[in-house]
Amino acid sequence: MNALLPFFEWCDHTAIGEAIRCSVWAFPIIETFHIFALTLLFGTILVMDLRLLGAGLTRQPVSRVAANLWPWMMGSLAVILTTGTLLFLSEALKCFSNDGFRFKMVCLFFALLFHFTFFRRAAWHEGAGSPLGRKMTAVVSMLLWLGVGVGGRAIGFV
Amino acid sequence: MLSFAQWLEATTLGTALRESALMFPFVEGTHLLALGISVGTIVISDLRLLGVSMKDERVSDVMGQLLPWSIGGFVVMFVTGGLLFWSEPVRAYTSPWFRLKMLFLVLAGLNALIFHRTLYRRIHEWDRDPVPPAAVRLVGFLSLLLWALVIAAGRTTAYRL
Repeated sequence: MNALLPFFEWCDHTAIGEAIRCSVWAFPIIETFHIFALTLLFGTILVMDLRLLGAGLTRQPVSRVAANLWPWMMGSLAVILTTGTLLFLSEALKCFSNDGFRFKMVCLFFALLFHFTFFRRAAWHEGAGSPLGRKMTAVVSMLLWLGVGVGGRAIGFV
Repeated sequence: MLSFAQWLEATTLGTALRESALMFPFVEGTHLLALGISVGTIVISDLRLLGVSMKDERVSDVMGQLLPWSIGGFVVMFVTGGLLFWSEPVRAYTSPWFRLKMLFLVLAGLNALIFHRTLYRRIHEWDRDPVPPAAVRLVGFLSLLLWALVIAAGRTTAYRL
C-alpha cells in the first residue's frame, strides 16, 4: 500500500484539493450533488435490478426498461464520479489510511466492472442467460453497490 | 418544544443512540440506503410525470409498480430519521437547516397528497400521453425540487454550518 502514498500526497496537494479544503462551503455543496447523483444512480440501478428479479416493472420487457433507464444511469454516474473525485482530492491523505475508503474503492472497482459486463448484458439482451442467471446478476449488482454505499458512509465514521 | 427536545435527549434510548459507536453509523447508513430506494423510485416516477423518461409506458403502470418501493423506503427512512432525531433532538430543533428540511418534507408530502386527490383521479384522461398536461408536469417538477431541497438541507444539518 505504501507505494501508493506519494500519489495520495500529490492528490492532497493539488490546487483544486487545497481550494476545496480551505473553503467552508465547497465540500458540503459538492457532497450534496454527490448524494443527488447517488439517489438517481442507485434508484435507477435498483429498479433495473428489481426488473431482472421480476419484482418491479414486470409488465415491460427488460430491454425497454434498460433503454429508458440507461441514459439516467450514465448521467448520474458521470456526476457521482466527478464530485467523488473532487471530494477525494480535498482529503486524499485522510482517505489513504481510512478502511472505509479502501473498502469502498474495492467495491467500486468490482461494481463498475460487473456493471459494464454481466449487468449490461442481462439488461440489454432479453434472452441472454438463464432466468436464474439474471436473478443472480441482479443480486450481485445490488450487493456490490450496497458495498460502495456502506463503505462511503463509513469513511466519515471509522 | 425546546423542553420536549431536552426531555427526549435525556431519555435512555436517546443517550444510548448518541453514545454508541456503532448505532449511529448503522442507523444513518440505513437512512441513506432507504433514501436511495425511496427517492430513487420517486425520481423515476417524477421523470415519467415530466414526460422525459419511460414515455412509451402508461403513467399508472410506471407509478403503480414503483409506488410500493417508494412507500416502503419512505417508512424505513421515517423510522431511522426518527431515531437520528431522537439521538440529538436539541441540536436538530435549534438548527435552521433541520427546520428547513422539515418544511420541505411537509411541502413534498402535500404536493403528493394534492396530486393523488385531484389530478390522479382523472389519470385515464392522460395516462397514455408521452408528455402529460402542464399541471401534471408541474407536480413532477415540484416533487423533484422539494426532494432535492430535503436532501440538501438534511446534509447541511449534519455539517453544523
